[in-house]
Amino acid sequence: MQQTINGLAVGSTYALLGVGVTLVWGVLGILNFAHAQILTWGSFAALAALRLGLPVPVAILVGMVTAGVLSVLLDLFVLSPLRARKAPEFSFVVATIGVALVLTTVLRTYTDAQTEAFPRQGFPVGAFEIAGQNVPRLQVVMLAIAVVAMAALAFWLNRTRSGRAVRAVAYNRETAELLGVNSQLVFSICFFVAGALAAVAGIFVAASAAQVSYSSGDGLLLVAFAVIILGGMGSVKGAIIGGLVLGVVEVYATSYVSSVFREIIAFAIILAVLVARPSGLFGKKEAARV
Amino acid sequence: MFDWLEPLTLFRLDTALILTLLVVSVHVTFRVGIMSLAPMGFAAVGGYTAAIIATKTELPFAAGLLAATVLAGVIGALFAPPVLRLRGIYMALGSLALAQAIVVLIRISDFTNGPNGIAGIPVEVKTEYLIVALAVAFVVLELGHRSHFGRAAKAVRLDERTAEGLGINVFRVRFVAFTSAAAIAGCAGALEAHRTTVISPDQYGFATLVIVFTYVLVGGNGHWAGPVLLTWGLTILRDLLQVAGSHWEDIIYGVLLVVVLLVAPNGLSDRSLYRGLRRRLRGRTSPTPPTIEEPAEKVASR
Repeated sequence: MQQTINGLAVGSTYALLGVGVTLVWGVLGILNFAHAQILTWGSFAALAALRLGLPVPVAILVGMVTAGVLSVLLDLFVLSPLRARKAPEFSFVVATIGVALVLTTVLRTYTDAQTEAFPRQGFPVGAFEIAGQNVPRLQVVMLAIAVVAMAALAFWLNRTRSGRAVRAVAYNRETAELLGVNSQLVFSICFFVAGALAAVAGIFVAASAAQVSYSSGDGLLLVAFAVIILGGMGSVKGAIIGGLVLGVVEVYATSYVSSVFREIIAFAIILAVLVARPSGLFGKKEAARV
Repeated sequence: MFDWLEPLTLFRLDTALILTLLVVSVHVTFRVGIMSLAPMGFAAVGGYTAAIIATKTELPFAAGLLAATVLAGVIGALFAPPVLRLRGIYMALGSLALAQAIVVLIRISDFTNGPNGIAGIPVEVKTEYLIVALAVAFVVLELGHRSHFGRAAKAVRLDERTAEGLGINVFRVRFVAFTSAAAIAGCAGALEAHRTTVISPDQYGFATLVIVFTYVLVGGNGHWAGPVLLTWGLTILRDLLQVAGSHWEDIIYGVLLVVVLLVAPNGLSDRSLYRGLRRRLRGRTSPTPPTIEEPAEKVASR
């Protein structure tokens, strides 16, 4: 039981990551390989804010905005021109890989590849005791944020005008543009939200590990992809459930099989799902494989 | 034979030649339209196989090299059926997961010495071997390019369904390409292990992948000479610029990759890039798009 709770705790981070990535995928059909670096930059921005003495919620906001803006810039300057040139699919993937490399190197140079300590004060730390089980407070907050984010996203997408615009663009970009939707604005908004959500996840991970380095995000990149593949690409609900499932599976695998398998789990899940059921748990059945 | 060169230059030359081999491997997969991010995983397989054979057994270097190439090819063949069924982004993710899984497995296993890597691999690779290996590779590539297989590969890349309709066994073409690319990458990994004498799981990450992809994408899909010549040209350029340290190199490569993708999404050997240039050189004005009134023959003869 404790393991399940640990798994859910780990999974909540993954869920939050997955929600951002699936939003971008669902609307744009792009997998952003620079996502992990963007969230690491967000964590560093929050760190800088905390060092300046800003209170924790403000620092989180700073991190979110930084990551969101970085995402938007990536889209505006790299991905949008590629879209205009009707570039083949792999160009997008490789372009984001290239940007990820640049971001990593800049961050590594700037921090001299040192791991920086991340202050924990102001974050909900410690644990609750619920029915005799240890429930880490930080992860509960993160799970709560993930659920709130999902609810907010659902509300935004289904009940607001801008949300309808997003759905229209996701369905068919040209038609949406003909109907007067500014698709570039929609893309930018989606990228911003994805970046901001990822930054929150990254900041909380940094807080719980009490440290952050230029490579903190790298392990999370494939986890994020595993989450959305498991949950179904394009489904926010699937991202949350996929994230939680992945977290639980990971915790159980490491405790019952061997701790070395922790990193493999994400890859194994990606491969297994892609082979068996590429559309994941909740995804649309698209032509993912022949 | 190459003793008149300084050791450092010789080392750089060998590294460039091995990199060319990796470029060839990626190029082969790109020729058939497969977006595989797996080459580093296969290079890791090859490197570690050769390293383990060299350090833990008494087998000669050639045996290690052969084993490395074959094992990488076998693993490629094993994972080809599931991975090749995927398309586009799913294929990229699946191949990346495969490569990363291989690297992680290497990192956590004991008999590969974990994250510390293997050192003390004997230096067996001389420049002559590399040149011979590359020459063989080029001959095979050219033969393949001019053969029925080469044309089938191009057809598969351009439009799978039509290729299938023309009777080309699409799966077989992709399988051959994927497996041989895996074997070539394994060979390159083995050669690199024997040249640099130290290998560790961390060197098979994104950085080299980006460099190789830069060369392949910039070089283009048309002919294998594109990426190869580009690799040589850029390596020489890089040495001339003497950009010391790895920071700026990585940044420049990342930026170069993005810029090239923006300017020429299909690579520099794409004919359509030069169409405008050629027209201007020939003195014609830039073409107006065909209108519905013009008969088809007139448009075609423009």
